[in-house]
Amino acid sequence: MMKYNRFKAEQEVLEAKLPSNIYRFMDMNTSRPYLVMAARTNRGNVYTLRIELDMFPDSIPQVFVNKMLYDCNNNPLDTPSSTMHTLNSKNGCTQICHYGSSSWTNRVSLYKVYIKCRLWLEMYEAHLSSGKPIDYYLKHQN
Amino acid sequence: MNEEKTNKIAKVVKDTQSGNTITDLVFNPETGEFEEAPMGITHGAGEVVTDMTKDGFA
Amino acid sequence: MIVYLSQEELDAFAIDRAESLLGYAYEWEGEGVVHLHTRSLTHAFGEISGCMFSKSAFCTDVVEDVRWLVFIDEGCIKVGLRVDGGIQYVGFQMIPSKENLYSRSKGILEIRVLQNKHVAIIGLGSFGSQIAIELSKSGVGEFSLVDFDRVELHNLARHTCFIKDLGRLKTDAIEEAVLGKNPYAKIHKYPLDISKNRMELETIVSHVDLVICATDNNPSRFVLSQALFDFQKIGIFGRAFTRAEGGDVFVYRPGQACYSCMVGNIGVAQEEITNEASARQNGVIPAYVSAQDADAMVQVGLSADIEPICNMMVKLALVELSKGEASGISCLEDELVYNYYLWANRRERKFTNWHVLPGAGPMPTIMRWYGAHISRREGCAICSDDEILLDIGDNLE
Repeated sequence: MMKYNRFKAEQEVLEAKLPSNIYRFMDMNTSRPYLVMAARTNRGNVYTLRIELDMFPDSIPQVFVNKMLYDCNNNPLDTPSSTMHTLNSKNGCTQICHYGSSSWTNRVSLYKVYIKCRLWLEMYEAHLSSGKPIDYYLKHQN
Repeated sequence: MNEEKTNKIAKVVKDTQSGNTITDLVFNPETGEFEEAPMGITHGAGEVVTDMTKDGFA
Repeated sequence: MIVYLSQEELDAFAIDRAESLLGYAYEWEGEGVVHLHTRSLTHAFGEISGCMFSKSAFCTDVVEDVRWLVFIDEGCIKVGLRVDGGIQYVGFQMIPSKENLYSRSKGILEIRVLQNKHVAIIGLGSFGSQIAIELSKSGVGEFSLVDFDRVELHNLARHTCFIKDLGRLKTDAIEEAVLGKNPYAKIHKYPLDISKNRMELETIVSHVDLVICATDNNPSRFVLSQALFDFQKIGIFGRAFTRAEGGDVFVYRPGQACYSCMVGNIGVAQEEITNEASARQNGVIPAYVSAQDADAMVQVGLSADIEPICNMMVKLALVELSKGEASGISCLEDELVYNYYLWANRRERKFTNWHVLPGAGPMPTIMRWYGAHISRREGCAICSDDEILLDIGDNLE
């Protein structure tokens, strides 16, 4: 669970970097807090991301796109895939594999997580056009 | 945004750009100890023993 | 026949109002060894039968099916074995009372001080189990044992537990092991996941003198680090690198660098993966890795490679617990001044360029401890006095 000073620091970064109407912290006083963020890709498509905060920042937060995405062959992105950088879906939502545990530290900001997921969405759309897997564009962490 | 807040953010950004570097542990044969040293700087005959994890994608 | 009685229990019985009581005989059949106790033991062993403790010979006639008899009469103790309707008296030895059990360590360790110390051991795997037993052998009097896991087959090669312990909660199995060494130790058991039970963890940490942080992943260490900082308690972290080619120990002393500072400063280590299930749960093995590839990632080091790291953690704990008290290990206070210690078992991977032991001279080589002072990190996510300096990933933009 995030401490108050951490929450304030995250808020300040988001406030400085993003328009205030594209993110909202939800259920912060419960055991299942989360952050909802909107992401617009360069092609103009808008996605909603849900970042689970119950174990943040000690653990990597789970990030879901608020719907099921499909690959270029119309297969759902609902299982762990190394080439597509995805993990098990939940409640019908695709989960993005954005960070490896060996690279995670508790200094990583929610803004950085957002930027990585935004990159993933760009590459997902590139995959839909080219048919190349996402890891063609995004290298794996060590 | 007020000036104080802007300064705070500037500090955060500065830290990320310069301070995000991780130090290496370098051996000092004179003391027999490992010492923290800024990443990439070799200290004489010191031997770097840590490797920073590279920032890639999971 | 070799017979043992507990001095502490006999002293208690002598001043008790009861004239007699039915106790327990723990006997190894065929080995000619029996331990006679007034109470049932949590660290039970051998075959169990009844044993009559009495302040008068009269009571023993009443209970005929009891094989062992102990008479206490005005300080005189006799142990009898019922044979063919009669009683054969045998010699016996005493298990010393609390203050004398570890008297042999007196002069080296300040037993009186350690008896009153409370240590929490978080994680009872190959590290935590050994450390718990070593600390109990040193006379530490109170333990909080924390682990939600059970003893499984893959644990056994490096764990203190036995095949007979398979399936048991580690907290129960290690309680038994600790009491087997020090029956007077006070044990509190918490079979819970600290990452999901922060309040309980905070309560535990707030009550102890020192925390041994022996979990196998960084998320739980960050959680622990926060609790140590919040309650200003000393914590000792230990871990092994891949295949236990080496390892390191980090000491958090209030006011100095915390575990999060260390990770921020010198990076995340490639740690040993010993258990696929827990590594998958912690994300150390990503979910997309196949069972076959995961099997190759699980590379367990030798127990002998873990021992030196546990040993250093125990010594650091004893020095920290005994600080300020005159004892034989006080001199180590001048030696173990670092907050980071590095150890190599083999010249592999990150230690490949270390020097061969013969002729290494002052250069780094295997099987020697090296110390380092890790400095506090400005803007640390846990212990910073000022605002937290976050990684906002400019390199990605």
